[in-house]
Amino acid sequence: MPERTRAHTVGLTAAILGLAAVTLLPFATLRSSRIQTGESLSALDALGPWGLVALLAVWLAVAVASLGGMPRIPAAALRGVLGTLALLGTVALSAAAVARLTDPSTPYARVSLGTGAWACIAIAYSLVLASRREDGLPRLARAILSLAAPLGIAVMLATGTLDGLAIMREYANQSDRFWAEVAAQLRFAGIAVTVALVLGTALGVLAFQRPRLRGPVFAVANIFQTIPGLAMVGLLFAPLSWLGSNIPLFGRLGVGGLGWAPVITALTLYALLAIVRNTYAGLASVPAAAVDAGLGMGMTEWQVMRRVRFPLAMPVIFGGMRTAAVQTLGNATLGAFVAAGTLGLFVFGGLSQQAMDLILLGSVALVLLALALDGILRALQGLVSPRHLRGREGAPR
Amino acid sequence: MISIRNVSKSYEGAGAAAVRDLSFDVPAGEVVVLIGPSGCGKSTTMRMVNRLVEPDAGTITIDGRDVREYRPEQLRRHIGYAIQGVGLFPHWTVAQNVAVVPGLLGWERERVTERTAELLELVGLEPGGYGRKYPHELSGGEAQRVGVARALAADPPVLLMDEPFGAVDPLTRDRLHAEFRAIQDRLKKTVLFVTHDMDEAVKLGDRIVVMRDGMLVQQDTPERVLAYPADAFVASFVGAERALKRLSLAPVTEALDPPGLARACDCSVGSTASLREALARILELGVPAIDVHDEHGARVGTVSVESIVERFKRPLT
Repeated sequence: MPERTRAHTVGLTAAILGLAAVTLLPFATLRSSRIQTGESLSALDALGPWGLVALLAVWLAVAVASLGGMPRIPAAALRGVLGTLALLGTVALSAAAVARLTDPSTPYARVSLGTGAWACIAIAYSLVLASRREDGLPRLARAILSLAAPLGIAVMLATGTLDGLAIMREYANQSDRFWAEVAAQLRFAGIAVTVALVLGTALGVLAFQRPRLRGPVFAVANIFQTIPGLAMVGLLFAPLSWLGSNIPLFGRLGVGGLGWAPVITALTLYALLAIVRNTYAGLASVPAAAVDAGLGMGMTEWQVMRRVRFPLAMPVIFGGMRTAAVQTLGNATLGAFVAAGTLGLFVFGGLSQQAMDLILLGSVALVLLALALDGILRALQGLVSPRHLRGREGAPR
Repeated sequence: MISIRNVSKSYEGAGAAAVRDLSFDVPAGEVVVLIGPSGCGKSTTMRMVNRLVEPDAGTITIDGRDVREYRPEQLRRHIGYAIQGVGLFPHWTVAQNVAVVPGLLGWERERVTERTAELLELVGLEPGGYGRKYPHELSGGEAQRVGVARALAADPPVLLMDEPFGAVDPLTRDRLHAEFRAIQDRLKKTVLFVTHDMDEAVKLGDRIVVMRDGMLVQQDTPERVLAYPADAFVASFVGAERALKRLSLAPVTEALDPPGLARACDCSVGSTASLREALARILELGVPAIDVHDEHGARVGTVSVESIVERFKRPLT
């Protein structure tokens, strides 16, 4: 007999917050041009009565699905579906509002999502993520819940449904630069994580095999973490400029105080700690009996490392890499400070011009990239885990 | 034969030496059980045989050849190794685990597959079903069987076993002991077996070496260790029930009186029973003596409380 549950706290909280966001916060902003301060619109003004009713209904349904009394797993799936609906509904209804609120006589007028709409999206996505983690949910349901919201947004983007929204008009203005900066962001993060992975794994192994080096290795990796990003590129300016102007090879490669060199150096140094720490922790967590058995049966140190220690430590090492990669992808906005580009340009540019939509273009893109990367790496993590750990309690998901 | 001669070992930072001037032999085809309380140096001693630990002084030879003449990996590939907690590789299947040493020795795939199946069968696991399982899918007893199969994989003449049957329930343990003894009677390996459990030592060992604080206190057959503990330490270590433990070692045929009058009751034991079983039967039935039958059902004699007491008075050789 399926277990029936009591009220679901996360679901109820989401429903209350969602209802509050729709009813209490400004839902959209109408501006006559890109940098004007706009007029805040309530959800009723922005979406019209039917739009408002539809959105409220979804959140009320979330509340009902969280009150308990339903079997646990279907209730979680239902909350996930409703969360997806709330997310996509908010976006679609906002896009539809543009046509209602603007007309051809005001070509520069823009409709931006307000705090209420953003809050709805964030709460709805959190609800989806929470629901898909429910134990016992079938794999297919999990996959559908993971993909439905991103796919829905992608479809709306591809069909031009969202083109009227201010952030998309900002994108239309910037589309050439936008993809170049996304590429820069990914390139810097990718190179830095690769270098940090090679270096960090080596340092982690060293710290594991030479207890005397453990302290110093961790101290150094920790120190980098404490230096703020701007200070780091500042500190790197002098040595990298010197290298670039005094060593011809570096000069030709474009090493200098500005450009790619300080970004990649800084990002690599930041990424080290997570990788070193997890490599060490992973190796140290390998059961002593397995190592003893390996040595006792005549494996060489190297064979024990390659065939026993590394495979068993792999999930933890990969977890460190994932943390480092997601963190580095965000940190790469540093590039904007040293003339190396990245999505940071939009954020900092938008801040200096007080152009809200430009800021949002940069930061929403960043958030989406980070979520996508995390999702991909989580999926890969399952594949690199030794078979005995997959799908078991405590295994990485 | 394994010979351990005047071996000593101290660890840096530790006060007393772990092993002090230790000498004993493990005769070919016999099981020598190294026993003593925790920290007495028994595991260290065993690990010096396959050079997981290097002695500070003394020599260890196997069949006359100093273990230091071999490269450590080569040496270990020719010595079976089974340990406490089993140490199966959790990311490998049972078959892959058993095949470790043959793999290291570069056996051909077919020979490895064949040998793996043969060994799983030997330790009582059905090769088809168990070969593909992962260690986490095994019960404690099954894992320990796999541990023994893995140690035997390359058919090494010498086995080192460090509490390979710890951490299972007493029933499973008894069964594993019986099976190990049966396998050993067939294969006649030269086994150095470490334990802190006197019952296990008495059951499995051809000889027992008792250690304390890194030194040898007594070495003898199980029955003689029970009958004549070398000192108060050994006496307390073997336990107050040592006489009862001896009973289980001696076959009933060692305390036989000639057959008396035929008895009407069903009060007899087989001639392969131990004195312990015979005494239990006597106590159960509340009679002074019972008959002993051979495998054909013929009466070969009687055993009584008196005859058992007489047997215990006789000095052991």
